[in-house]
Amino acid sequence: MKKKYIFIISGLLLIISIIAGLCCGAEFISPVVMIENIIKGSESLKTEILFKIRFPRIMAAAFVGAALSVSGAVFQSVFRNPLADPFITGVSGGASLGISAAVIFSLGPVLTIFFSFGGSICAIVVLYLLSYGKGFGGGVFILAGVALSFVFSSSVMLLFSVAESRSVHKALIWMMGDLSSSGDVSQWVVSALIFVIASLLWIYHSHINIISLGKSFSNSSGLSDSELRIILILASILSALSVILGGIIPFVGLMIPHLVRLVNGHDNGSLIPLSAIGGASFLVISDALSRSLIFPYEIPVGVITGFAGGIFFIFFVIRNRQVY
Amino acid sequence: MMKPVFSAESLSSGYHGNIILNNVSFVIRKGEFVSLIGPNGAGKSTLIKTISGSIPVYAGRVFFLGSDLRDLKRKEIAEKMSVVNPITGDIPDFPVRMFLSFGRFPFRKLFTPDEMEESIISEIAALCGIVSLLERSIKELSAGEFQLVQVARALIQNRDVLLLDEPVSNLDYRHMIQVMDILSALNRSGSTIICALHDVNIAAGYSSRIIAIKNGGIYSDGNPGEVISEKGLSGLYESRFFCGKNPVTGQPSVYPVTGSSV
Repeated sequence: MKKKYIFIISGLLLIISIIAGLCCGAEFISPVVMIENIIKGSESLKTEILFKIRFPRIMAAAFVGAALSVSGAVFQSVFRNPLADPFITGVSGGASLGISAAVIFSLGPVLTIFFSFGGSICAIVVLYLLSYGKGFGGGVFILAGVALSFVFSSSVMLLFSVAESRSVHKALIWMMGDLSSSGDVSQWVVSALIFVIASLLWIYHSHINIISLGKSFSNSSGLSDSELRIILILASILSALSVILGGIIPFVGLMIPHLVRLVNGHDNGSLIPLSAIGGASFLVISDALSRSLIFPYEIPVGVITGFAGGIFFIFFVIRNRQVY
Repeated sequence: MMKPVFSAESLSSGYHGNIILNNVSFVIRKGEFVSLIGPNGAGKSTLIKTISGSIPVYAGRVFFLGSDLRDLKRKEIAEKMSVVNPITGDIPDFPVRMFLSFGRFPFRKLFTPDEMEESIISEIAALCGIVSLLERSIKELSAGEFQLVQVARALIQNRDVLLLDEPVSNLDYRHMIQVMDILSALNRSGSTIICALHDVNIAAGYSSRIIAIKNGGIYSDGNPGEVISEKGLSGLYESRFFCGKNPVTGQPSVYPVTGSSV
């Protein structure tokens, strides 16, 4: 019964944030004006702004936020580590190296997608071998993730230093966490993929619950290593898709699943969908803020989530200081 | 002779390439209640992890119900054997009922509702005396309550072969006896039980056979009367013991002699 209310409230939150996102921007359009325009169906400048510019961008933000939060929630459960998220584990870093390489060598959209998958899967393979093969847990796991992130970002810089400046600029803009280029066909393809993979992960929710009780528990419950690997690869691909659609957007995958765990508990059956809704709402609101805080300038949305998440992270560390 | 449940032939295993269990052979038959005793780090947990297929075999072979363990899938093993391992690290706040339902995991199929689940959970919860805990979170249970819940989950998975790694190590006497009595009742109805124990008196009181393990090998193996003697235990644990007979049960009982470590 309680779960039902949590779902209703978070659903309402998502609707409100989408409406807020539609209102905010270079020109403030009030909800009343918005509804008038939609009912009249007029081809005014306002409907043009709403449907051709703001709506696709809000949808991109929502899907990126959902993808980041779901993959963060899954990583935290699987690695049994509250700090595991796509950003800290280096999975996003791997994806962004793949994309940078593809952009700089102008490889076209399909190869770009596969390069990003490749980068993120590389990162998760290294982490998997360290934590499951060698038995490293806790602090060592996070250190490995941070080290991986540095290796990936150095590789990106190496690529930039030898590449042509026009393609570097293109890759840089996108890496800062940019949602403004959305609206083309590939956005909807990537969004559909995000939906499919997040749903697959949700189907695996009892597997993920069992994995979250530790290796010997999941082994003796009959969960195979290949099922574990499939889950990790799906979560990595989900992070890569978020990077393709929105660039590097830090901390969403860490913060949102944590907040959801506070009200929902650790059951992945409801944690995964609630993280998706929560992450979508959070990124839509962050994007609305990024477009309207310092008008007429636009702040990259990664800057907003970086501030919010960084402050959250510090509070998290203080609250858990007896644990670390 | 009952048919063998486990038979190990010159078995060696360990972690990350380090051999812990070295060249061990034994046969455990259906209906036995086997206790594994021995000092910390001797290889009791490693033995349980090896014969449950959780860690790789380095040399030798283990047969489980006639098939080589390496030829069986995790799921096939889980259908016929359940294991209670200590859960370390952060415990997620799952409700007890949900935790118990994980015992049905090997039998579950995607997109098919499990019709047995409800009835088997209530049956086993009643058997283990944990009906009042069903709606609580496993995170807020006491060690004794959580151990009962873990045993219940294992029984939901399978009642024929049970492996338990130190099931009563940090429990008070009431919970210790409660857990061991459940295992004993199961054993009388035909279950094969293998459990690693630190308390030699508990091992003596409940098991039909004790395997003492030291430095990764079998130190002694036999019924409680054969394994438990002052000489045998002082060699096993490298400290002095006084052995007597429990006047109530007639089983051997032991007392470590205090101040005898040097």
